[in-house]
Amino acid sequence: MINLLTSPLFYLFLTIGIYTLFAWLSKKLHTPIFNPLLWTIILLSGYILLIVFIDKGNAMSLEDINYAVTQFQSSTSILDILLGPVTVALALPLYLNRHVLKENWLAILIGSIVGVGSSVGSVVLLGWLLNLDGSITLALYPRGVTTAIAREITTILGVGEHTSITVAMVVLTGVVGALLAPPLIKLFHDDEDTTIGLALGSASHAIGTSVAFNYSSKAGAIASVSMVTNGLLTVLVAIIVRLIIA
Amino acid sequence: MKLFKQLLLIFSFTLVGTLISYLLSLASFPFPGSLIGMILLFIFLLFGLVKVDSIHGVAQFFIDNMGIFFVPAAIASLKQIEIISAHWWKLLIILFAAFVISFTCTYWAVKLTLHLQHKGKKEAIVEQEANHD
Repeated sequence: MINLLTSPLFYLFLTIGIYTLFAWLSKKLHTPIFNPLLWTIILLSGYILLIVFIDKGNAMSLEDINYAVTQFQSSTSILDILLGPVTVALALPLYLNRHVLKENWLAILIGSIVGVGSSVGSVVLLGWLLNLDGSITLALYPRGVTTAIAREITTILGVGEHTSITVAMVVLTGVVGALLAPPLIKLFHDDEDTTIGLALGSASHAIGTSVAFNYSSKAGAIASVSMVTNGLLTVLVAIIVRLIIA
Repeated sequence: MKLFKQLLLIFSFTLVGTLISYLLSLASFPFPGSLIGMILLFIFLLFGLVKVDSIHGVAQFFIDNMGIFFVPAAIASLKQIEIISAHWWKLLIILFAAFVISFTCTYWAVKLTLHLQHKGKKEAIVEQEANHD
C-alpha cells in the first residue's frame, strides 16, 4: 500500500491535482489566500510527513524525511527539468507588452533600480540587525524576484545548498504581497496603473502581477514587465556581489 | 504535433542559452542560461525571426501555470527543516518587513518619476506656446 502511495505517478497525480483544485478555487473566489502553489506546498509537505510517520511511527528520523523527500523529488523531476524552458517563456509577456515597455521605460528603469536596491538593502539590514547566519542572508537576497530567476541567483551567490529556503521565501513573499498590497495601495490614496503595476511586479513578482491584473490590464502588463526587469537587475547585482566576495 | 514543435523551439532557445552560459562561465561571468535564452527569444520575436504563433500556445501555458513547476524545489525545503526551525521568527520578520519596505520605496519612486516627467512635459508645452507668442 505504501508503495502505491509513494509511487511516481501517484506523486505527480497529487501535485497536479492539488494545484489544479486550488487554482480553480482562487479563480472562483477571487482571493490570494487560495494561492495554488502555497497550498500545494503545505498539503504535499503534510502528506510526505504523514507517509513517513505511518511507515516508521514514533521512530521516524530526519533521515527518513530526507529519503521520502528525495523520492518525491525524483518522481516529479519532470517539473524541475521544465523550469528552464518556463523561464525562457517569460519572453512572451515581455514581447506582447513591448509598447508598454517603450512608453514607460524611464519609470520602469527607476522603479526596478529602487525596487532591487530597497529589496536587497532591507534583507542585508534586517539580516544584520537580527544577527542571521551570513549564508542564509545571502540566500534571501532574491526573495522578491520571480522563482525561476531567484534559483539562478542562489547559484551565482554560491549558496545553492539553501535554494529550497529561497524558493519557499519567494513563494511566501508573493502571497504576503498579494495580501498586503491592496491595503497599502488604499493607504497611499492613488490608483495610477503605472505605479501600482511597478510596485506589485517589482516587490512580489508573478503573484503580485496577477493581483495587478485585477486593477487593470495596463497595470498587469507593467507588472509582468517589471517582474522580469527586476529579476535581470538582481542578477547583475548578484554577479557584482560575487565578484566582490571572491 | 503543433505542441511538440512549439516545445522544441522553446527547448532550443533554452539549450542555446545554456551553451552560451557555459562559455561565459569559462570567462568567469556566471550569467544564468535560461535568462540568456529568454533574452534571445525576446530579440528573435522583436525582429520577426520567430513568429509569436510558433511559441504562443506552449509559452502561454507555461506562464499561466508557472507555480506548479516550483513545487519540487519548494518541497525540498523539508530537507532544511533544522535550519528553518532554528531561524523561523527571523525569516518571518524579513518576509513581512522586506516586502513592505521594497513595495513602499518602489511605489513612491515611480510616483515621483511620473510626477517629474509630467511636470517636464507641461513646462515644455508652456515654453512652446510662449515661443509662438
